[in-house]
Amino acid sequence: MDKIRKRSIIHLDLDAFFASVEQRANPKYAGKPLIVGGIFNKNGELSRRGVVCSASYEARKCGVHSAMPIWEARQKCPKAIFTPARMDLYRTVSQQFFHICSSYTPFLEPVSIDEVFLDVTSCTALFGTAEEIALKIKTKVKEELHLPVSAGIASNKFLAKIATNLGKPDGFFVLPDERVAEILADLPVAKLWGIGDKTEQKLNRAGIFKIGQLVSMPDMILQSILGENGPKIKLLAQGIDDSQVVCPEEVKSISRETTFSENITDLEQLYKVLLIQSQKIGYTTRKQGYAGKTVTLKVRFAPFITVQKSITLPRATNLDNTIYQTAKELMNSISIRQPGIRLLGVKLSSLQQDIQPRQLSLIDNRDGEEKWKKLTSSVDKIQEKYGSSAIKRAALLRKEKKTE
Amino acid sequence: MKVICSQKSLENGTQIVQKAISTKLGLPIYNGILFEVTKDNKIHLFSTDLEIGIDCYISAQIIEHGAVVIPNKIFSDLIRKFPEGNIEIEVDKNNIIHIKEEDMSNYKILGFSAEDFSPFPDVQSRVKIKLTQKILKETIQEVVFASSRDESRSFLNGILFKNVEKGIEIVATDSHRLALKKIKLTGKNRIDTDSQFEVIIPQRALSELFKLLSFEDDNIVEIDLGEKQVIFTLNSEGEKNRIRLFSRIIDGQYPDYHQIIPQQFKTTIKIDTEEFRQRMERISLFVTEDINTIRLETHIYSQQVGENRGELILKVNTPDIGDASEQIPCLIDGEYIEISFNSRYINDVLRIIKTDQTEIKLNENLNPAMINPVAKEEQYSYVLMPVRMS
Repeated sequence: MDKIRKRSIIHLDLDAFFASVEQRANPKYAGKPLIVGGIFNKNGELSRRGVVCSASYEARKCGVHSAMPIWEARQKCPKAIFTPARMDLYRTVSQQFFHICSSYTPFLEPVSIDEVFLDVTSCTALFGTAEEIALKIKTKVKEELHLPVSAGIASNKFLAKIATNLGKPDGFFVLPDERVAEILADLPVAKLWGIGDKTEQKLNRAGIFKIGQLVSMPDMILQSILGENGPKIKLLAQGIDDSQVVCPEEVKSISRETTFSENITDLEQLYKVLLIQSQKIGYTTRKQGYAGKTVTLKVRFAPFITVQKSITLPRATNLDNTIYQTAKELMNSISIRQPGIRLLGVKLSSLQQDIQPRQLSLIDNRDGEEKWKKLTSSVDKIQEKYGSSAIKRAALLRKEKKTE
Repeated sequence: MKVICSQKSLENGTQIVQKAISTKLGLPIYNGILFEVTKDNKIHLFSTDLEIGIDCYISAQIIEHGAVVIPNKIFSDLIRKFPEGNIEIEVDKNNIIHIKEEDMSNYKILGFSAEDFSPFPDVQSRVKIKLTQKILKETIQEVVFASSRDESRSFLNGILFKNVEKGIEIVATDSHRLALKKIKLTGKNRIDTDSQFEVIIPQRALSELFKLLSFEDDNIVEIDLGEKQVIFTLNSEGEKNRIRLFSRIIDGQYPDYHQIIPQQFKTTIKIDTEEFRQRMERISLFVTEDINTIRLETHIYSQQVGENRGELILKVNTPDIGDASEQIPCLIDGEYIEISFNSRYINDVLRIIKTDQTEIKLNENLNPAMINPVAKEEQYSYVLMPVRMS
């Protein structure tokens, strides 16, 4: 590997992503403390359970942050507006964001739904310097998606991410090599990758609070606190990070999970959840041009016992109904114990491209697959044109009425 | 028990009955063959996996009556290694089997008590069907390959026997293709009842029966249909050469196959069987387990009403291997068509068509098609579903 060659890495992070998307969608939320997340009951009331998924910068000023319990967020920011998370919408926007990034480099590593690393080392001849590329993306995201994004530019992934955080929100921060030592020195050790709460406490007890202090510690002492990760963390502390921007592998599975606000024992209710999840998985799988052979059901019982079961179908599918029927079959094979189910999830894996020729059947299949295929494709078209509530399975109708 | 019999008849007898053994059962005694001396001084051999069973008789010099279950594998291997000549088999009270040849070899095997072995079932015959070995063997060959090997829908693992006007229909399908043979009840082939029957017989029973039958033998096989079991009896006159095979009957509703078989076609192709078979086999070298589709296209030289001279074009495109095409002169009646099939489904039927000419009958490219021998009085139909591309 060409280690001497200096890399140009850009880290991009959509600011308060879910909240920004909601503010964009509802102008009345703009400039207000908005908290996305929490669990709403049938009457639209917020449950005490659940956590903050995302908070707007206005809410963050009150001390609200992601993963904070809802009740605490309420205490800290009584004026905050709460809104449920709309993951499908965020996923779509996220895809649009990644799409913009990918027009500048194929070396792209999404870290999460709103965060990405780009290696633009070999693209500078085409699109200009890393700074220019980052600025172009930032402008494009603002113009096309109307979302603020922070960018950090440095010679490796770790430093690029540090740079992004230094510039947030709506930031643009270039971290040149010659300033690395100076900037890192004053940052808390928790900023280093691989240092969690526990390790941070240990370091603090040893009198190490800042990265600068860690760098000046003898290796022996670091080793005793950090264990085998010691040398790696010390390199990071010096701003050295060789990790590559890894392009994501092909999708391996498509899944949906739902955490309930109360434990559920009613099978009919669970079937409905499975149906909704199966429909979402089916749609995503179809849109991405895949079909999957293995359906896995994940059930978490209230005292955190998780059961997973799967069935491998004779043929890959992306039909909502086949996924649903298989998930239902799995559900029926699990005995629901008290105090009920806390989390339910469905996963479709063993994915393959959905262009395989299909051997037709003389006698109607058990699920009449051809019929379902036609039906599903018509439903997709209607929903894409008129929205997901334009047409739906009767089993899901009553639930809708109640929430309205 | 003490008997002396020839190596040859022991070898023959064990070879016949051991076909019913399947290690799947997991009970050691059923990996054995029941040997019992009959009242008329013969040896009755019987083995079973409880789903199917085969028995036969061999003649022997009986010194002492008795019965035992002999472990098949070691016994038949041993018998095969003996030279032609007499073999003495003696069983003591502890079911230890002593096998001696000319006082020069001495082998001991631990057997099982015959009392623990399930007897050949008594089947109350509701219907008796008589078919010649030849016709039964041909029919099994023409039909059984189309049955399913997938055990999840058991009725598709079986072959349907159903009486129709003046005949019996024998049908197998794996849901993608279907083979149907109608046997006319003339001459030696007959049924002793007018009542309706419909039974599904496991594919394995017929495959084992196939090995016992001869294409040259014009003798009758008696088929006795009971409530839950069926018995096939070969050489029924006298016990000497009699072989019986029993099988359970599969419980299940067979699909209404007459509804599946199309009656009208838009395109009919008449083609030389041997030429079609050879070119199909050659082009099939270019398919794989995963990509096994072959495209058929018609090319017509002139457009007149009725049969026109033309070509059937076969095409295979397998990314890992390459492209291939074959052109076969043929007679085409009807519209141009482009249709894809699993190549195996075509090769399978071409292996059993004996007539010079074969007929391919097609409708739209997502509808069932037929491949049949061309003969005056043909009683065979093969229906297959195409593969939908894209």
